[in-house]
Amino acid sequence: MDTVFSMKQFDDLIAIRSSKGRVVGFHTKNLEIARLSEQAWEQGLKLNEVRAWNSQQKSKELSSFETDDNCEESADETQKQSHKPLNYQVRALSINVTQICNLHCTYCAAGGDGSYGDPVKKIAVDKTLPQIQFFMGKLSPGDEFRLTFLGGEPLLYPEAILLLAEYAQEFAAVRQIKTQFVVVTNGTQFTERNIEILDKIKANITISLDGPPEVNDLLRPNRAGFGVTHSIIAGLRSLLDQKKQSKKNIGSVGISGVFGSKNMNLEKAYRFYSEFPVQWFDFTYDHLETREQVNWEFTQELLHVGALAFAKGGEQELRRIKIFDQYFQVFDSQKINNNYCGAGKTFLMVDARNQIYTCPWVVGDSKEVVGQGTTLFQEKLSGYSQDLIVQNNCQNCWASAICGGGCMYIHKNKTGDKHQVDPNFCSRTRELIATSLLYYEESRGLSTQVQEVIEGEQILG
Amino acid sequence: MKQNSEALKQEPEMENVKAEEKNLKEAAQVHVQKIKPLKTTTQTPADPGCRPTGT
Repeated sequence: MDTVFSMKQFDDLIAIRSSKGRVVGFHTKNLEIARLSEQAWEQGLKLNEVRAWNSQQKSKELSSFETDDNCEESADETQKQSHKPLNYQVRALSINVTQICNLHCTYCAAGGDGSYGDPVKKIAVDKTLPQIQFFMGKLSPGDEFRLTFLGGEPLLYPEAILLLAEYAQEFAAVRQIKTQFVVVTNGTQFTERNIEILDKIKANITISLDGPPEVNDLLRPNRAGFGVTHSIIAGLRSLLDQKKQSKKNIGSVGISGVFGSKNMNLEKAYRFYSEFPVQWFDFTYDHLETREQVNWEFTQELLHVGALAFAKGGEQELRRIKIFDQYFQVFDSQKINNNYCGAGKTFLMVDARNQIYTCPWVVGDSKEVVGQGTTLFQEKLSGYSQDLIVQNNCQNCWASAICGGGCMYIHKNKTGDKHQVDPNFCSRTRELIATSLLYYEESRGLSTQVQEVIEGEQILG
Repeated sequence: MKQNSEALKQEPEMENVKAEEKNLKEAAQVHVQKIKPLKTTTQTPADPGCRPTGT
């Protein structure tokens, strides 16, 4: 396992030296990645050839979520103009179609029972359709719109999912908008009828599962306190079998688990997840965990799992782990990520009473309501208009262009202020990005070329 | 004739400059080997897939 051994920074360049001696350079302004020579490392990146690279600052199109003409600005220009509110359009909406759940997860952040303190059984579809129309109506032909169905357990009210998705599809067809549907489920409701609905809307599916039955049963029992993992596995297998036989139009299927002090065996979860032919896995860190030691342990576990995946199947297998795939996407796009997420800019959340929030985590907190029905409270939303890397004072962090400033909810949970960064989040993110840079260099075959050059030099020298 | 001899004189100089440029380029490539990114059409998602009932 090749790991991050040490790092150096010189102006806009970061150099990462791996435990096996490879040196990977990362340009923090134009996001280029390069293999650096040992000599470059020894001279503290002050070698003429490296200086020449350092001084390059090509303007890059911004990757974040702008839909206006500001897209072509360079990062520097954006930072200078950051006091200006940007004109965003909502491209992703999450909807709680119900706020009840059949499970009683030990760490549930939605009021402990999926209700957010307000157990609404069914969202009013007739009040939700105008909201979809309102947001989609602002988009232009060719734009993309993502609708995510959350809960509670959304598949306890599948009729709403179907009605809302079909409406969005019809609206999109007229306006030439591309739609994408996501259903986030606990995996207990894969009945034939529900699979049919998921198929009809070509849903991408996220299944919350924390590991094998002996782990998941303890953390995610039903309301009576009993484990239900075996029935989740049976339902998932049925779903995947039908998908494999091309009988179904279901989109990507992924498994997402929560990890922290009560569940730190990521390797066990990874091996269990790997038994299923799903497209991706996500190892989410417990958002409420604030201890440095737990953060460190989780980071090491995740790096270990990344190493296992890379050894097993190189880049392809590594990128089945969502966080690594996300970073590789930014490396390949070479576009600055100004916003960790689009909360309050291009993303909004609708609860089962049609109240609007900026983020799924703040549902139920009346202070965080930013709209109701099709009325948006502009004064409240104006607080979200700036780029997060500026608002969170991340400009001096080498990893900010990849990270995008981090999660406001996690920051607030640790520091009391959504724009005061959580140091644990930052150290974890930097370590993951640095390691991802090593994987990026290794997986694109450059190591072999460099080896040839080094050998050539030795022969000549 | 005079012009021709000057042109002949300049040719090796030009070649030297070109060779030097080539050497510099090769040296730069040894010390900084940029990785060509793959083309991607994927955009960073507006929501990172947060799920309070699952976290």
